[in-house]
Amino acid sequence: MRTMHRKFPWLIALFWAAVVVLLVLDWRVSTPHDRFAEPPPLALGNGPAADAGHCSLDPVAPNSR
Amino acid sequence: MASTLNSTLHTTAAQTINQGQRRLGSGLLMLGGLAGFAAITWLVGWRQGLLWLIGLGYGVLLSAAAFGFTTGWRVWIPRRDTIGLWAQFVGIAVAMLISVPLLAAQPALQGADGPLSISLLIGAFVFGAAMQVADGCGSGTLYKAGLGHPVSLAVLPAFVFGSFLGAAQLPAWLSLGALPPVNLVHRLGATETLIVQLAALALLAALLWRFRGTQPSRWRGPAVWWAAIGLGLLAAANLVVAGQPWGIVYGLGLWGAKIVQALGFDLSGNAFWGLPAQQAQLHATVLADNTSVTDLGLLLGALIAASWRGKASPAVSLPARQWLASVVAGLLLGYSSRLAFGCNVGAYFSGIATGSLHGWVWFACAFAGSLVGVRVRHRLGMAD
Repeated sequence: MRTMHRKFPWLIALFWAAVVVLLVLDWRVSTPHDRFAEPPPLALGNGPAADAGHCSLDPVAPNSR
Repeated sequence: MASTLNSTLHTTAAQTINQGQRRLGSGLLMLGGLAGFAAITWLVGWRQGLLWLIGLGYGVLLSAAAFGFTTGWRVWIPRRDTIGLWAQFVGIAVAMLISVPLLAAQPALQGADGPLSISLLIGAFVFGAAMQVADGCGSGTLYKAGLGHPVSLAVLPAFVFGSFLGAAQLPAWLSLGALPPVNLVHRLGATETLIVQLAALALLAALLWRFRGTQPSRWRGPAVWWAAIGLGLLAAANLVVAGQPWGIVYGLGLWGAKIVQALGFDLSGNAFWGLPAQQAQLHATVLADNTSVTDLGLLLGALIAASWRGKASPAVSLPARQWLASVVAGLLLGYSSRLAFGCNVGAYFSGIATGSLHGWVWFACAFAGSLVGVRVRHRLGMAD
């Protein structure tokens, strides 16, 4: 059985390069961000953003966002 | 004599240079973290910038203290090492003590209120088993990927794709049967929720003490306790800033959906990704999504802490079979966490901390799954 016992220092550089490239590509193809429609800094007293997603939200509930 | 002195001097000099390089590297990464804060705040606003900082904090604490939900459960199962589970309870309790009164006073804030569905029972059980094989839950996989652990770097893409797929098929799973979410804060009130839930955690902690093992704990020193308190405080800050609790897997699923969409697939007809709110998220920048921003911050925070301690890019020793098992488990982690309305963070930590009954159900089912997962892990020859 082949066992891999080594360090991969280049792997983390590759990973972070991929993250940055994907973020830049995502920014370029996304709907331009409306800076005048940004939510207030704190949701406390204002509520979450209208389309905020969370893993616990029921997608088919009548009141789900 | 002279050669011994020379050798000692060489070793000391090499250690000093290594330490200097590490400090320089982590200093540069910290600057990167601040640049990320400035860029995100400039591009998408203060709320997202603050969430990035909170995410950095999650990553630093998880990585610096090796705070693992998976490991905490795993070392208790065969060895009855209670410290990991106790620390998790402390973190949840700290988050709860702040979050529950806030949720009662501010109805606009959202708890992690998942429905009590058949999919929750199945998903949590599978997640609990898979996280032992993958050696990482939602937060664990992210923080270890961030610091460059090769196995977690291999598990993460599978986790992302699994989350996308699980979300895409979630409505079909929900048709098997579901009861509406139950939030104890709204049913009982803030004080009663705190009393009931803190008593339940204290009872569990006492049971763990009663059946504790005799071997020394995996965690020594106060780091794990500080990390637990810090994570609880950051989770409460997450609620204050985002209006929703700390979560992980929604963001991962969104990344998967964006990649699938970029490959030319139209998701507008999907029962989940075709919903108006999801379509809005899919067409907006990923930096506008709360969970994605904290996930990204967590990745970098973990790298900063690991780099400071010289623990980045650890060496691994795994046979090919175990690599394959870890990646398959990663796919299951992603898929099952969407069925279960969250992972160890979104369902267990945040669910219980915000008074959601589904958090307790998740805990019970996932722990049962972990009992199986630890056996599978041993069968595969993986160490504790």
